[in-house]
Amino acid sequence: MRAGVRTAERDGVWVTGIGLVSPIGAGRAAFWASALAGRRGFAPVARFDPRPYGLDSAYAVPAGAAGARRGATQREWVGGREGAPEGPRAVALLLAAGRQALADAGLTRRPRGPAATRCAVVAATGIGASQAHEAMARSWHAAGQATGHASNGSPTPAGARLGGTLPGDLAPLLALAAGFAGPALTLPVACAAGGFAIAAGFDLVRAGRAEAVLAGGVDELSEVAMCGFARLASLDPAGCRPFDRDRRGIGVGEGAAVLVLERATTAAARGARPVAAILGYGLSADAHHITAPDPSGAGIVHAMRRALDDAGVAAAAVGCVSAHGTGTPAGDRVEAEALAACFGAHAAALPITSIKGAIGHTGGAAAAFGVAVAALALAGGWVPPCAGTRVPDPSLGVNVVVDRPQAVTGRAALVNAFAFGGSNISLVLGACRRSDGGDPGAGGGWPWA
Amino acid sequence: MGLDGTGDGTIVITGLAALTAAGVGIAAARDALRAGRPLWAAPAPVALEPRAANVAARVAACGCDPAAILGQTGLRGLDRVTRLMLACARLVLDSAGEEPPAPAGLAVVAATASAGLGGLYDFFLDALAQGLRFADPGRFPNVMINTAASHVAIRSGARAACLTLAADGTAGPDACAYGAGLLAGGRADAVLVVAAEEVTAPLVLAAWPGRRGAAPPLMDGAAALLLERARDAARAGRRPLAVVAGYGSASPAGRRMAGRRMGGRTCLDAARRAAGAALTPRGDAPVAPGDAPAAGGREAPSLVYVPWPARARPRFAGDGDWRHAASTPARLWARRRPAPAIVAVNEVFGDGLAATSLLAVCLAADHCARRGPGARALVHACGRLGQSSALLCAGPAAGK
Repeated sequence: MRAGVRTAERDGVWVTGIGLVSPIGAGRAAFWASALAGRRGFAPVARFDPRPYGLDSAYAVPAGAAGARRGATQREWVGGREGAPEGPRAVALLLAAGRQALADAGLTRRPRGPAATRCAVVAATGIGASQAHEAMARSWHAAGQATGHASNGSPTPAGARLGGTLPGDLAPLLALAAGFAGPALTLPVACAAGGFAIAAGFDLVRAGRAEAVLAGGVDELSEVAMCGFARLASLDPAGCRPFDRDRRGIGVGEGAAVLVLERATTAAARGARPVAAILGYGLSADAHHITAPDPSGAGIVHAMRRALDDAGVAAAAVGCVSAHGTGTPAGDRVEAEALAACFGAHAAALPITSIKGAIGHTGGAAAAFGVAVAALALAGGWVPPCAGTRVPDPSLGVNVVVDRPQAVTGRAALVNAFAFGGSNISLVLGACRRSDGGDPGAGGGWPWA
Repeated sequence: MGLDGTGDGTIVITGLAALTAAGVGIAAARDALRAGRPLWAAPAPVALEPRAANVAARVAACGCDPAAILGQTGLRGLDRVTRLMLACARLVLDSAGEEPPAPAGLAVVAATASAGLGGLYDFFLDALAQGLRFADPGRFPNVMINTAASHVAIRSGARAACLTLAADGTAGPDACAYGAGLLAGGRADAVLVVAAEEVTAPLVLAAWPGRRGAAPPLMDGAAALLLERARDAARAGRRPLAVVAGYGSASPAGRRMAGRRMGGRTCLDAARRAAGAALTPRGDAPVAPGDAPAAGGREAPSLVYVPWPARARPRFAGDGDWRHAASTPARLWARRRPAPAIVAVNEVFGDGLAATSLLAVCLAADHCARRGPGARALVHACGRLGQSSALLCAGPAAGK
């Protein structure tokens, strides 16, 4: 393994735009201000009654946030007639984040011709458009109750539409909306999906298959998820408290996080300002249990070490960790022990944070939010605190950021994401020197056209 | 190098498996394709276990019980997609000989459009019936789309990686290319690529919304293959069946949202670019719109597997985009002179979304294995929203 951080400016894949629709704010600036302030988006649920699950709040994107209104984004961004069918909420959130990301990158015009064919999309989700399916299930249940036979119920009650609700539709719909005509892949790898999407986007750019990639994830507030995690006794009624002494579990959330990834050389040529660079990633599978993490943490350690090796980054050069940190007693312990195994004595001083305390567990978007946090921390120099965490669990032996931001201590950041069933991914980001050349917003981009 | 399957040595296919209405194994599927007789049954209500919804479809269902392959142990609570994936994965690993790939270097790449969907309804309808406080937690993991792949990883001990692609008709080439990328990038030593679909009422309504009866004949079943680096296969004594020789993927460069629809031209453009990229040496060069596949001296395949024949389009009701997309690869290749042999896989097995897409790759690899060096077969797939992917299989070099 090489010492230090490889020159991100020369051969890295840049993050040039970030779009975030979250319970603590929409847009990079609003999100980051809230994150640094330790604000939480844990609020009473309006969409359904959560009391059967032993709590009254969750992490929902507030009404009025960009893209939160179903169908709004589709019409505002790509046009269309009034009164057209509204898309699923997951699609609306994803498109809103995608639009933000492109604007943040200064890519305001749709690419045309050959430029469009060099642009790809990789989307991620955990469950997908859950709300539409929950509504359909409720209507079938109600019809069955009314007649005594579910089979007599109408499968298509008024207003219940399932078009666009297959998880695999997410990437093609984002590609169509953005005018990207390259590959469009959807990776539903549960809670780690957003990390897999960004890694796949990184590969597409690094392999020369794409010049720009919209990569990220989305999940909408799901009653099914809340019901399931409640029955698994994995919900914390007080909201998510990552690495806290009294943590009890996750907080169900929703949101979308999308990043624009570009080849460093072409992005620099158009005068783009990098937020950070993606340097590498590592994968592993626990092959242990469908819901419980492998207590040995071997798979997690392997993914982290593989990521550092892939990135050419020494453990000592890592200046912060954007942890998976779901707030479950077992999950946080395994991750902390794996961090200690990977970083040794460096782990005790390494600032570790998890954004899930602020925005909850956003499922397929969670890892993309984690990458965004790492990129913004490297760009700004500060690691946001774990919102909701009051007293870090002293038995974990790691430096959990609480109450106020801590300074980033190195030029690289590690992002962890682990999924149901033991799919693990770790990504390494590097800090970039800010470019002083050009205004990427002036020309609308696409220099390789 | 991630999705680039050509960066680090030759990637070969060393195992094939299929569970279709034709029976167990790729030979049964090959014979059924040769016979050319559709395997789907008359329209019948689509089950949503344990309930039934008022949705009918023509389904070519795999009659094999996965438990007959796997045994009963450990299957309780698993949905049909997971059982199909597990059974097909078992078959393909068993075909790898006495020395199967080591679990530490084995990765699982699953592809499906239906995984999680049936599980979501199963879990939530049960919760609504029993009371939300009393939902069965054992059924909850089936809600997650990646759970089926995770079960495959747990059963096979795969520890290199485990992930799922949610795609419909393009899933076969996409998943193979992803797996080839894991091998080329040194992230795995062998990749188990598996796809499965279960026909449920929500899947029919979500995949073919709009008018009742818009869905084409459907497939319930699975397909799987094993990918390895050629040098690793040779070391383990496994015979390469086919070489993964090229891959391309493209999306339509049109607008289709909020009531707008793409036309056949935008689908055709995406299909042309995907095939062009798959046939380009190294498979990663940009191909401009209008660049016809196999033009400019590129060597064309003699055999192309497509989902539906060109004449199928008028037969399908429903969503206009899907009607255009479904027959686009066949229309594209029918224009070429001399036209290659075109095989419409879905015309026999039904539209199995990810499953028939990967089945087409298996059939192409089987063709190359039987024909040997010089054989070239292209799988040209399309998705419901106009996206297109293509994978070129070639016969293995003599003596390997």
